[in-house]
Amino acid sequence: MSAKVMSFAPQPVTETPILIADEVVKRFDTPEGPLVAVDRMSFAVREGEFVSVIGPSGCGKSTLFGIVGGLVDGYEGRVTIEDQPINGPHPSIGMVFQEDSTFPWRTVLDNVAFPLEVQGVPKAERHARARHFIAMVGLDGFEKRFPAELSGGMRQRVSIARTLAFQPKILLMDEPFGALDEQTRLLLGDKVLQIQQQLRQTMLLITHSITEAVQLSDRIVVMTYRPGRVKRIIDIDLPRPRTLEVVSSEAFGRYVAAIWSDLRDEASRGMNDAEARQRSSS
Amino acid sequence: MKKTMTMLACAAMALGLFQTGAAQAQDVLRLAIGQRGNWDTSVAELGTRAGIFKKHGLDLKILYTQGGGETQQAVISGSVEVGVAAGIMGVISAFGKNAPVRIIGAETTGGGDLFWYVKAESPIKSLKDLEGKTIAYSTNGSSTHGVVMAYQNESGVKMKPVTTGGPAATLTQVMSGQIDVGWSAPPFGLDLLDQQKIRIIATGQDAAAFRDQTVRLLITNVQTLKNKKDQIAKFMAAYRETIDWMYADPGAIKAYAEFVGIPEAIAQRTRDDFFPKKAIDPDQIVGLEAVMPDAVALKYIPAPLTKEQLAELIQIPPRK
Amino acid sequence: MTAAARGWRLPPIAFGIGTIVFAFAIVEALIRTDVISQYVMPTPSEVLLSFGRVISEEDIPHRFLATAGECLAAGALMTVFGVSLGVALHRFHLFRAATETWVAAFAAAPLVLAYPLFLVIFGRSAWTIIMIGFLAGLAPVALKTLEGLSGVRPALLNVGRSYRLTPAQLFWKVLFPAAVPTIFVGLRLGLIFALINVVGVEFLINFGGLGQLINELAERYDLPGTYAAITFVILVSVVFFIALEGIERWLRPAS
Repeated sequence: MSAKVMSFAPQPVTETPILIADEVVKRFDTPEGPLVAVDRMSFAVREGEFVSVIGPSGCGKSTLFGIVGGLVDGYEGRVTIEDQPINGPHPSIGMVFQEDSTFPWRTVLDNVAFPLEVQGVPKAERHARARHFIAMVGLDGFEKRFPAELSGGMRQRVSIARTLAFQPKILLMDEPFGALDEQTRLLLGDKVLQIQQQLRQTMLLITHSITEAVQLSDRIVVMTYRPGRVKRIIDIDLPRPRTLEVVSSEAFGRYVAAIWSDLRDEASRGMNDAEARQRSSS
Repeated sequence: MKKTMTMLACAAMALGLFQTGAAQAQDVLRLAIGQRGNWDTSVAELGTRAGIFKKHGLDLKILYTQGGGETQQAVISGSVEVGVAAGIMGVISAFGKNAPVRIIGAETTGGGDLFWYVKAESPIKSLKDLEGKTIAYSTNGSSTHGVVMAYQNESGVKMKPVTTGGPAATLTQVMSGQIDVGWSAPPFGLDLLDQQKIRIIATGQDAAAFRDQTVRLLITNVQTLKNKKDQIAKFMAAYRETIDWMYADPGAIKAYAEFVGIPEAIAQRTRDDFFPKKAIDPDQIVGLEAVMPDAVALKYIPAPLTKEQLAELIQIPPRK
Repeated sequence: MTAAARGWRLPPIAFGIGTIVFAFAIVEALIRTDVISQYVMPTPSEVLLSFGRVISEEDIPHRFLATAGECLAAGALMTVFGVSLGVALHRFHLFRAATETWVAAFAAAPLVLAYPLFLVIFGRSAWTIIMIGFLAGLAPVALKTLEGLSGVRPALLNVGRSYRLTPAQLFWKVLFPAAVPTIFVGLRLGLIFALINVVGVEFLINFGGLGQLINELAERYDLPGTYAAITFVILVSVVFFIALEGIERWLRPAS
C-alpha cells in the first residue's frame, strides 16, 4: 500500500439533500405523437441515505435514471447535485447499470481500477485501492480473473466495486440485480446494504422489485404508470443496521403489502396498455 | 381435332428420333485449344464452320484454354480427347514422367508466327542493340522462351529475358516502358504495326535454331488413341483438308476474320506474312534432337528421350 | 477417472496430426488404385519425397520469404488503411451512408483481373503484387471494423460516458478493445484474400516467390513438386494465422 492515506471512512449522515430533482419532465417524440415519460417528478435524496424509486414496467424509471446520471438531456425542470445542475455525466455520480457492464478484456482488478486509471492515478495506488473494493464486495482472490470466468452475480459485484472505487458522492443503480435469480438477488442486496451501511454511501436505486426496495431503503419513491409521476414517498422505518433477517419480519411484510396496494393499479394499467398495443400491432 | 393432334405428336416424336439417330452418326470429339484467335489454332474452328469436320463424321466440342500447360493437362486427365497447341517442352516432360500423352501431329513448325517489337520511338533497331536490355517471353519452356534463348546464344548479345505472359500483358508493359522489347503473335499487334505505334525488330525465323523446329503439337491421350483410333484418324484427315482449304479458298480468310473479329485485310496479312503453309503442316515433326538439351537444362526431363521413346511418343495417323 | 477414459484423451495436436496422416493414407490408396488419376494428382508419398529436391533446387527459402514478405506488406497496409476506413465509416454517418454499399461491392470484385493496370502503375515489381493483395483485403477489414465498432454494447459505452471519458479515451479504452475480436475476424478474412491474390498474381505475371514457382513446376509437369510448392503457400498462411492469433491474444488476453 502507498504512503498516501486512503480515506474510506464512512460519510457523516446529514439532513441536507445532496440530490434534488425538481419538477422534472421528459418528453419523447414518437410516430404516434409526443410521449411524456416523466411528468413533474420531484424528490430529494439526503446524504448517507438509501432511496429507491419503484414503479411498474414502462413508467419511466430508466428515463429518470438516465436524467439523473446525465446520460439523457433535453428535459424540463432541474436536477442538481450539491446545488450544481446536472447537464451531463457528473463526477460526483457513479452509475451501475442493469446489463453486464464489465469490460471483458480487462481483469477484475483492471476493471475496478478503470475509473482511477482515467483519473490518472498511478498504477500501484490504483491497484491498491481497487483491491480494497474488490475485497469489500467479497471477490478477493479473483483479481486476475476475467469477467468471462465469473457468474452474472459476480460480474455485477465487479461493476459495483468499480463504481465504489470512483468514490462518488452518490451511487446510482438501475436494476442492478434484474438479471439475477431471486436468491442471488437477496444475497447481493444484503451485500450492497452492508457496504452502504459501512460507508454511509448515498444511494439511489431504480427497481421494480418491492422486496428489494423495502430490504435496502430508507425511503421509497413510488411512481405511477406512464406518464411517470410521484404517487407517494414512503419512509421505511425498519431498524438499522439491517441484515437479511429483516425480510422475514412482520414489519417488512406490512411495508411490502402497502407498496403493492399502491402499485397494483399502476401495474394493471401498464399491463392493459401493453396488451392493447400488442393487439393493435398484430 | 384430337386425332389430328395425336398424329402431329407422333410425327414430331418420329422426327426427333430421326434427328437423334442422324446425330449419332457424328462422333463427338472434345478439343482443348490454347491461344484462341491465332491462325494456327483456328484450324478446328474454321474447319467446323466450313463443314469439313462434319463431312468426316465428326462433331467437335471446342474448349479454349489459357495455353500449353492447361491444354496438356486437359488431355492427360481425359477431360478432352485432343489438345491443340501444346508446347513441345511440356509434352516431352509429361511423357518423360510416364503421363499417358501421345503426339498425333505437328501444330506449328518454325518461329515465323512470333515477332518481337519495340515502341516506334525506341532507339533499338535490331537484336544487336539489345545489350543489357529487357526482352519479353511468355513463360518458361514456351516457344517464345526458346526463341529468346536462341537469340542470345546465336547473337552473343547479353540480353535480359523477362517473362511477361501473353501478348496483351506484354504490350501493356512495353507501351508503359517497363520492358524494352515485347513479343506478340498475329493478329495481335498488327493494327499497331499498321498505325506505326510499334516496330518489328525480329521474328522467330531470325533464330536459326527455330527455323526448322516444331514448337507446338497436336496431342491425345493413350486411352483415346486406343479406343477412338478411327475418330483420331478422321480428325487428322479433316484437319489436313481444312489446312488445304485455308490456303486455297478466300472464304477461309473471311471466316477467320469473322471468328476473331478483325478486318479481312489483317486476317489476310496474318496468313500471308506470318504463316506459310508448311508452318502448320501436321505431318512433319522436326528438330526434336535440338530441343532435348534445352529440355534437360531447364529440368523438363532428366535425360534426352531415346529413339524408342520418341517412336512411342509420336504416333501420327498416316495420310490416306 | 478410469485408466480407459484417460487413454482416450488424446492431446489435440496428436489428434490433428493423426487426422492428416489418415486423410493422406486414404488419398494415397485412391491414387494407387486408380480411383483418382495419378496424372492429375500425385500420391502424397511422391509429394513428400519431392520436398528435399524442391527445397534444394528451387531456392525455396528465398521464394518463401518473397511471398511472405509481399503478404506482410499487403497485410500491414490493409490493417492500417482498412481499420482506419472502418473507423471513419463508423464515425461519419454521412460517409457511411454514401459509401458502405460500394465498399461491400468492392469486396466481391475480382481485382486480380485488373493486374495489367497495376503493372502499368507500379511496374513489374513486388509492388504490383503487394498493391493487389492490399486492395483485395481492404474491404473485409474495413467492413468488419465497422461491424465491430457498431456492435459494441451500449452498456459499455455508457460506462465510459459516465466516467466522462473524452472521445479519444472512449475510443481507445472502450470502443476499440471491445471491437478487437471482430476486427481480427476481418484481418483474418483480409489476409486470406490478400494471400490468394498475392500468390495468384505471382503465378499470372511469373514474378516473385512461390506463385511463380508453382507456375514453373506446373509447366514442367512436375506434379509432386507443384504440390510441394503449394504446401509452402499453406505454410505462409499458417505462419500468418499463428502470428495474428498471438497478436490478438496480446491485445485481448481474455479472447
